[in-house]
Amino acid sequence: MHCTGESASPRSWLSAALAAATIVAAACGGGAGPGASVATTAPAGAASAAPTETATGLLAQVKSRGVLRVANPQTSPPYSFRDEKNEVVGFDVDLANDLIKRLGIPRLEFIQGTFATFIPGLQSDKWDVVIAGQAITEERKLQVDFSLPYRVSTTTIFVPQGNTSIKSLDDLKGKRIAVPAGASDVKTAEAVPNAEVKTYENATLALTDVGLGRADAYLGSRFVGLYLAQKNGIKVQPAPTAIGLEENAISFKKGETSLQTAIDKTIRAMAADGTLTTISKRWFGQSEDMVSEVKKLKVWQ
Amino acid sequence: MWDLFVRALPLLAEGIVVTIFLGTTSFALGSAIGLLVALARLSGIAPLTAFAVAYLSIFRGTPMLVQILLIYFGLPQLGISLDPIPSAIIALSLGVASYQSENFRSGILGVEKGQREAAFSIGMTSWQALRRIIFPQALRIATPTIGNRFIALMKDTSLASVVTVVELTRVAERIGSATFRYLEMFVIIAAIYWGISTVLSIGQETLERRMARAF
Repeated sequence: MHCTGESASPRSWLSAALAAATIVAAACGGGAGPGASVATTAPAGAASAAPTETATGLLAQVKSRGVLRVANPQTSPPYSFRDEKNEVVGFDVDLANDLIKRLGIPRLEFIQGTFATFIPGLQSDKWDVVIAGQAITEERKLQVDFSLPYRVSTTTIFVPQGNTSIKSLDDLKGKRIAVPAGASDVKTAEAVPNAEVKTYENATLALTDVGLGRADAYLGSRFVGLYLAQKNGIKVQPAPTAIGLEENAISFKKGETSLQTAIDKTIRAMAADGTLTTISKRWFGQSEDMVSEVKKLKVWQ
Repeated sequence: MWDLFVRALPLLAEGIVVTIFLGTTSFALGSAIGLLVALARLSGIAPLTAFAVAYLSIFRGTPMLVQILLIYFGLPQLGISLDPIPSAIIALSLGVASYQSENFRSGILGVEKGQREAAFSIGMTSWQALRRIIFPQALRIATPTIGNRFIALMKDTSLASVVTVVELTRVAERIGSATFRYLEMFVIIAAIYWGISTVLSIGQETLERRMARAF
């Protein structure tokens, strides 16, 4: 399922046509054929920060194409989801919009994926980057490269309301654990002795089943769990202690150093000028200070 | 790919058992329901016919995936909460019943009119005529389409994966995401589904050959 960052308004058609025209012009003028790592400048009409250094590889391809193809779940509020107007919105969407502005890429294309398809999609060039708050794990690092973490999440156990017997992972022995398919928490759940791991298409469905008593516990981000439970009226509550801290980052195909450098630099800039804090507060509320948690991470020093 | 297959084998075996269980159970239940719906449709009793027409329209007219999601995630909102495997079996049975009702109906209508008249003329009741004369012939006529539906259903069981049933497709997805070897896992299960379908189609051909013999 494809969709553009904007809705199908006349304006977006116009900008799409303009972008297409720019690509044609670039192809005719510069001879930057597919795969050719010819340095191209940002097309006219791109945002202010047109980079002057020579870009190669995927970054150059994206720039000459004029579109950054971003995979996200679009069913994962408040990170990426469809609002009442059926537009893709959320924390990760705001971040993506700011990212292309700073990188001088005219347009975004959001492609719906799932945690199970994000990495195969990068490897088969279905999209350029995944901006879905993927947790950085050793297994994933073997398959793809990650940017600097741009958010963190506390992993928590969610249990049906009123349950006080489950406090830690040890209490989940022999229990039914609900997790979204392909999420990094699947591995944590599978490591619990005798547990029955149940996988779902998304976090909402997994939490719903815990609320209905068809699973005993859900593993995932504390913030997301609370947000989803409140929005959907799911009768679950977080267990008191956290079971881990996840570092969430943008992922892309291995070896794309120019893209990685550009994205890391942009994330640092967003953190420095307060943009990241603004985005965070917009979706997580004023009281959550996630950005300072991010800045405390070792890789940020 | 062989190393992956060997490694995945215990889970794949469980997946195959669940897939075949879902397929055969739903097919048996769905065929029974389908037969009742076909008889209701042909009964000539207005409310029964209307029920059968409505049933067919709803269950043939909506995707099985949607039916499964509705039964597992939708019904709890009405206070009916079912486990994954019962949900999947109910959804698959109700769905396949709509097709089976049409298969039976066309089989029954395909039996020559004279057969029924002859049965009545020797004093059989409608039930006797149906059971002894019409139905055995209808089944022969309908065997190829019934067989096709069985094979199709065996593949539709993959839809149960969305309601957390760990059948073949979910096994492949799980191992694929743990090892990042999706392509190979899906090639493996494609081969397994193909194997199951092939066994079923050989069974169907044998059955058709036997049935083609004289009465």
